[in-house]
Amino acid sequence: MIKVRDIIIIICLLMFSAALYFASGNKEGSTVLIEYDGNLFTEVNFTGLGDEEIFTYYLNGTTIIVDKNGAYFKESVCAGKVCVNSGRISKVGQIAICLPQRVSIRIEGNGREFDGITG
Amino acid sequence: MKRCGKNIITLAFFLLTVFFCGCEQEKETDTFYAMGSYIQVTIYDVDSTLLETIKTDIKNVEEKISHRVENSYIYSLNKEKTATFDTETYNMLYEAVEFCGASEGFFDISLLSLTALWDFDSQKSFVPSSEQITEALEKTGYENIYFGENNKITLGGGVSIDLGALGKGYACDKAVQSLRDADVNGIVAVGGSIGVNGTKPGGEYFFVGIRDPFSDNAAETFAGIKLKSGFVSTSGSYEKQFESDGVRYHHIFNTSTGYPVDNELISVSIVCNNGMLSDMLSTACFALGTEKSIPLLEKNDADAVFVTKNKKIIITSGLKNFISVKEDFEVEYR
Amino acid sequence: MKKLNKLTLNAMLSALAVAVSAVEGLLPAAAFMPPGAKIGLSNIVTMYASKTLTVYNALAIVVVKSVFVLATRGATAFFMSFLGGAASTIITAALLNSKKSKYGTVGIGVLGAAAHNCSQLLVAVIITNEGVLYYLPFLIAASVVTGTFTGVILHLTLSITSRRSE
Repeated sequence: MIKVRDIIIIICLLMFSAALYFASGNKEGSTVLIEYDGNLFTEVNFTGLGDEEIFTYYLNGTTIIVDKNGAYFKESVCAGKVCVNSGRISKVGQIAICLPQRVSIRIEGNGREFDGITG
Repeated sequence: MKRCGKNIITLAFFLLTVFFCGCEQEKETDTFYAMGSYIQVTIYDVDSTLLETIKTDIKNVEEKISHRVENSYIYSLNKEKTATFDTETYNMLYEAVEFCGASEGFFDISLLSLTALWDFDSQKSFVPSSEQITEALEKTGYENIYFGENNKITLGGGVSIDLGALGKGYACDKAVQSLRDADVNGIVAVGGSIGVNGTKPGGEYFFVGIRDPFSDNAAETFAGIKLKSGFVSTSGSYEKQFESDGVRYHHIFNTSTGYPVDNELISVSIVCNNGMLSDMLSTACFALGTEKSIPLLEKNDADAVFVTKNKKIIITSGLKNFISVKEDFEVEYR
Repeated sequence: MKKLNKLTLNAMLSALAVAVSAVEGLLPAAAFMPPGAKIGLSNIVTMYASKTLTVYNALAIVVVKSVFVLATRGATAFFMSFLGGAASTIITAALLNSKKSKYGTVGIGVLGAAAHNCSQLLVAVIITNEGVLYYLPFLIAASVVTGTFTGVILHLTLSITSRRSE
């Protein structure tokens, strides 16, 4: 069932995935793109938001919350609630999708993140 | 053996990436509210006592110079028209009044009668009558501030002090001083005033965005400035404002008329090596307008980003290699 | 194996693959995994098929399973299921049937799972953008776990059924 080679493969794959994980730096995103039917509905830059600033979006039966820590599906009329269970996303590349309602939220970093904003 | 070779390479790769990326993560951030603003401090060192020190620094500044804090120096001064200060604050006020003179009164710290009348911090949209404004204006004028012996300051002419136009920059100075004392790099944001010590690990400059004055979203920016050990403050008509009978009123006053400044500008951002100065200059230059600001900036070795109401950006040449502006703005360098 | 038995076996395995796929589809999305990523239990079925029948039979089963997914979960899920299943089947079939293989069933299961997950991620990258590559480390780590699991089950199944047919 298990041979020596298998163990080697497993170790190599695990190290490789760990290396990938640290190499990507796991960037915190800065913008959430809300898309409906593949089209961009709105883009929100959440890094500069204050503690009390919360944006709520109602899109085709889903309720999306965006605050300074990212975005998440709060509610949805869909049957599976996969989207709601995906929880909060905030890192570049993360994505939460409500497939039945064709709504998705996706995090992007703008390449150069600001360390502060004046104005 | 083939297997060992492959293993060693993967292991090496893994260790290298961990080493390089592990270094990036050493920083700490603290956020809190003070001086009526949202404050964010990020230091590149794992030292929470330093964060506490900086928090205390900023809160101390508020306790000393806010005219709203009972028994602060300024509160007592405004009430009794005379007060004794600690040396640090006495010197700070002296410098502030000197600047009032240098700006020919376009910047003035004695405007409390006027700012209290308009009361932008309450949510009311109140436009005072011209009689009320004239009356309030009579009780302003930095020339009525007398610096006496033994750190004593006296106010004449019924004037009262409001340091709202320099408080945040001054708080940044204190915070950055603590960073310097601890030899730690970091960035402090007190509302829209930002102070930076050193660079990020690896020599990368701090990158500070300038809020887009034409957007309602406070997190939208139109430009970014690279900063190394410096300060930036911004004054804009979009910050505190209300509309009444179709007219927009904002909180930066023309010190002669008592009404909000009305010129070509919508915002000004100042970059220099002192926080209080950057804050004062941002208000002064907003009131002076682009042309009249240039000599004042040169004298104070400061740079500026002016944004006009028709989306034109004027940047002083000192910032040329340190700023990037988004495409849909017209840029002119001076 | 007689021809009729082969046909029956094919049919049974196809049905099994579809059933397993349906059950998997009900599982909720896990954290740190891209939405839609599944454990790949149906790979046990296709691996068993490639060992006891031929790789072409196994691929046919993949097609049947994917068409089912197309009908129940839509086009995106179809591409993911088909490409993931095909990649995993081809690789595991090659290893299972090779006489010189130095890999145990667990290793084959892991490699099959890795191939399955990487192809699925590739589909996701094409459909959205390269941002989803963020999930790659997690998918590879997951394939180690799921591959081990499917490999163990495959081994047990093979030894039980081969004993029975003797």
